[in-house]
Amino acid sequence: MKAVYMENVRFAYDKDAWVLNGVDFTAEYGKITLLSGMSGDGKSTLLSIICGIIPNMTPGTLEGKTYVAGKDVREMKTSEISRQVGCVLQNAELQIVQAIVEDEVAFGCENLAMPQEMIEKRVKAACAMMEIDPSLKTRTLSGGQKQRLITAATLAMGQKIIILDEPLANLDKEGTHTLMTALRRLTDRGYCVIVTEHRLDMVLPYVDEVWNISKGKVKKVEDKQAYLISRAEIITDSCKPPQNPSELLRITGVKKAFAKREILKGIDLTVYRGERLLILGQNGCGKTTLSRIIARLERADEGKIEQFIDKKLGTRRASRRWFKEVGVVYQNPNYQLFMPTVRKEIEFGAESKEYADEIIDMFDLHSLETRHPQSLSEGQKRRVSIAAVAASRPKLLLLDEPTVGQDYAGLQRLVDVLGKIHVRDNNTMITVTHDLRPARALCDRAVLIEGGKVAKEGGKELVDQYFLS
Amino acid sequence: MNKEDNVKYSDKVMAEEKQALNGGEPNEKTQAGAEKSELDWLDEDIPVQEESAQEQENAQTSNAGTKKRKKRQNPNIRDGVRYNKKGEVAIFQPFTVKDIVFLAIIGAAALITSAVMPLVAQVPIFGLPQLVTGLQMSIFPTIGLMKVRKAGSVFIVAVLVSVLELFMAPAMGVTSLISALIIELLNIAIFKGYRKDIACFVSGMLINPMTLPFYYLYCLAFDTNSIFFKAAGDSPWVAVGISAAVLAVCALGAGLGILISREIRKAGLMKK
Amino acid sequence: MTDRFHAKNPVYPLFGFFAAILIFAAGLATAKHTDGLWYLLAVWLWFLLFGYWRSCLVIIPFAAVFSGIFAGITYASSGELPATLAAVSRCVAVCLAVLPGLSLPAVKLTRNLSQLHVPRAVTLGMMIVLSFAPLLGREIKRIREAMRTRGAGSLLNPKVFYRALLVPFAARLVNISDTLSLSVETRGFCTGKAAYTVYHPVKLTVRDVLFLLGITAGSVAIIVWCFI
Repeated sequence: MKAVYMENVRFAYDKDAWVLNGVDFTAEYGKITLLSGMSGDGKSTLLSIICGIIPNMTPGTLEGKTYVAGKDVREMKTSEISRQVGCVLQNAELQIVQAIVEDEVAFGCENLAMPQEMIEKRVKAACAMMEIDPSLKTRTLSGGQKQRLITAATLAMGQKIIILDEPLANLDKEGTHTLMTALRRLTDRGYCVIVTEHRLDMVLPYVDEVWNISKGKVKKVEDKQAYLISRAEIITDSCKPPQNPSELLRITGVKKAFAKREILKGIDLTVYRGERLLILGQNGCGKTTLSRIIARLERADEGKIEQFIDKKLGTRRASRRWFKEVGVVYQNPNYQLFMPTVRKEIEFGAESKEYADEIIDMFDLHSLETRHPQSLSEGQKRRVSIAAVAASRPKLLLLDEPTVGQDYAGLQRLVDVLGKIHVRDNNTMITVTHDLRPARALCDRAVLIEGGKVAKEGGKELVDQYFLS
Repeated sequence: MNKEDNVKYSDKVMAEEKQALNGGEPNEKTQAGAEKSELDWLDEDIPVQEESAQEQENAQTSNAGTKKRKKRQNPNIRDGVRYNKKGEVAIFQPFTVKDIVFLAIIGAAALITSAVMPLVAQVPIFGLPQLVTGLQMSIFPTIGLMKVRKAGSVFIVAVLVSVLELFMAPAMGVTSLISALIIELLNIAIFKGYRKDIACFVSGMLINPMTLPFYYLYCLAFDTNSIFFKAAGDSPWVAVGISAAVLAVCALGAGLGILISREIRKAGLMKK
Repeated sequence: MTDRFHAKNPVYPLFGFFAAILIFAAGLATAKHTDGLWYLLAVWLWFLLFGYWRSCLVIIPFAAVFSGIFAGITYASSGELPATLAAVSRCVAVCLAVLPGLSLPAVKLTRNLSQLHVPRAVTLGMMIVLSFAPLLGREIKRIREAMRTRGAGSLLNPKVFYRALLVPFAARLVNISDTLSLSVETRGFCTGKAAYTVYHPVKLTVRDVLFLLGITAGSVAIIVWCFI
């Protein structure tokens, strides 16, 4: 018996707009199956069908056969499926209901009416497996710990089919290794594990089977290595680094700690006018913190940042004027969008209607102009938020993971547009990214943050070295 | 007693089905003599089986009653909508987990934005707490009603929030429970549920002002010496004036709530 | 939020709740009698005796400031000493009534309610209200910050307030609740009458009974003393 068997599955949230169109997919016990694809391609939809969210909780039109653990999902209630399939969803932070780690882990077990001693044993074991202290308070956990907690909470329930949607989002290399080896141990015991992840290079060494989802269809990938290479096609750029640039920002001895945990331990870095600086580093190394300090969204505990953008901007105040000169694009675009249509969103920061038109043209947003920003897909939202920030023509543009959720073509276009704006306005760009595809193309100079300090500085060769070793 | 067993019976049936289904498949460890590892807890007892063994005894006693009950269970619910005997949509709709979670989040939002409440409640000025929290206590519940649209929603929010209030300011918790109940009754009498926007508006608007009469009683009962209460107690017009102000603020809040809900519905976020 | 108040071994949650109501009622009822203060002192000592020393100490400065303010207001407005004393009594009573709630980790309360067969939807809802209130507070901060980066202007402007805070916040609420409800349901939670167990049930001990008996006896005694 296959753990998951799908034959000719079609699904639409709204009539006739098929998100999945004729999917044949299987996942077996004893194997880690990777489902790879860009966001918006139906990855999450497919997983939702397997774990019963569709059609039980999210309505839509579902056709075709889906068997989970040998039974037709459409004949199973959600509570029934939840005994067969464990599901680790994205956004761990939003799923924690209890105050103490062990209670959170016990929550699922309580729902399955396990006897008390069994819960106790399972909580202990699941926490050990995910390397998380059961007595911690959930509110004080870091992003990676929260992710591990939610994973442990599912593992403790002991279903034989486990689905993880982007489980590595908040994990560094070590965290990834912990998680993936734990999953490996489960499959060795006959579990079926299905994982989605867009950072292929991180997961490929651990998985047994790879399926690619694209445009509503799913295909099994036979040659993993060739697939990785095809997915990691490097985007190129035509920008040239600036010649003999002057200083724009001088960062000296910046330190920052959160709840006694030192994130930055003395960063010294100079940013030059008109360059494109790429900040590299593991999850949790403080890349985002550094970019937030630069953007004056966070105060450094020690050290200083001198700016040579405009004397009137001073040294500390994050005034309206400051954000006119310094554009910040958030990791999560949901926070930055607020106007009722995409067009108004762009016009809000643009100096004139004509310029807004130009930006809409450049970012290829014509078809979305009248849509409500919150109704867009994550990838589209990100494009709109970048466009909206770029519309105010900032002299310094800070981009935090700007490319997540963009497919290859979209990425190429985005990088081109950013390049064009860069050349025309002669702006300075600081990018933080995990994504190896556009990394080279967004970089004149790169710095690697490690152990709270700038560990290495270099050009494009540092990018190659970082991603490919 | 009976109830409990019924419940467990249905679970037992489910468990048995599953057991039959799994029989011998990967649930059991197939390699004989495999080394015991620290992961054995995973295989030892699968919750479903464990539970069924445990429940079997419990269920045996009341089998007959259970079956009857099971048949009777919700014959009128189709696609999550309950119908009454005439085939019309019933006033009381079953709440899903999604509804409860959203109402709880709404409660949390109302609570966090009116965190000053327990302190302000002690300031002896009649109607001040209602005035201070009027906006958030009408905006968020209205959004909740606009999304969930089920009779009883206001009461659920009140229950969830008042448990906390009970500990922080007991009188407030009790009042908000009672007034929520009154609002629900009014709603059923006039609108028969929350299918219309105007029903959401009226209930959302009334949540806060409805506590005023109780608060007035509370003032009279406990503090007649303070000059602030004298102001309210001696001249009813002061009380009336403040009440009108509170009502106006809440009407504004409920209106905003409706506007916001309409906008986010347009954005496709209010989907069921 | 209230972590530093938590008692190591709080009394049975339901009893704590009854105690709070008793203290509140008796404290307010006897506020105008000087002997009421003795009652409150006795309650405080009773809490101390039952291991609430941490919250008992933390509440002192709070109660002092709180009652000080109201005593000041009352004295300034009425000029009478008894009225001032009554104001102090009331404030102290409120502070004491809050103690059992503050010292109780929320999970004990919900476990207790689950044990007592309160519908699980209610206990889950309470857990969510408790754990998401601070998260939503952070969420509001984030939205405000993000709006600042977009140059949305001052929130004192009602238009900006609506557009740049209320709407995005409401949208976030919907998103958060969608994610959370999916997570809760895939972890096997359902509102129906399914079987469930309680991890670490709260046990009723002699100590708890003793605690409530003490509070009840004290409250009845002071009311009888003052009014009869």
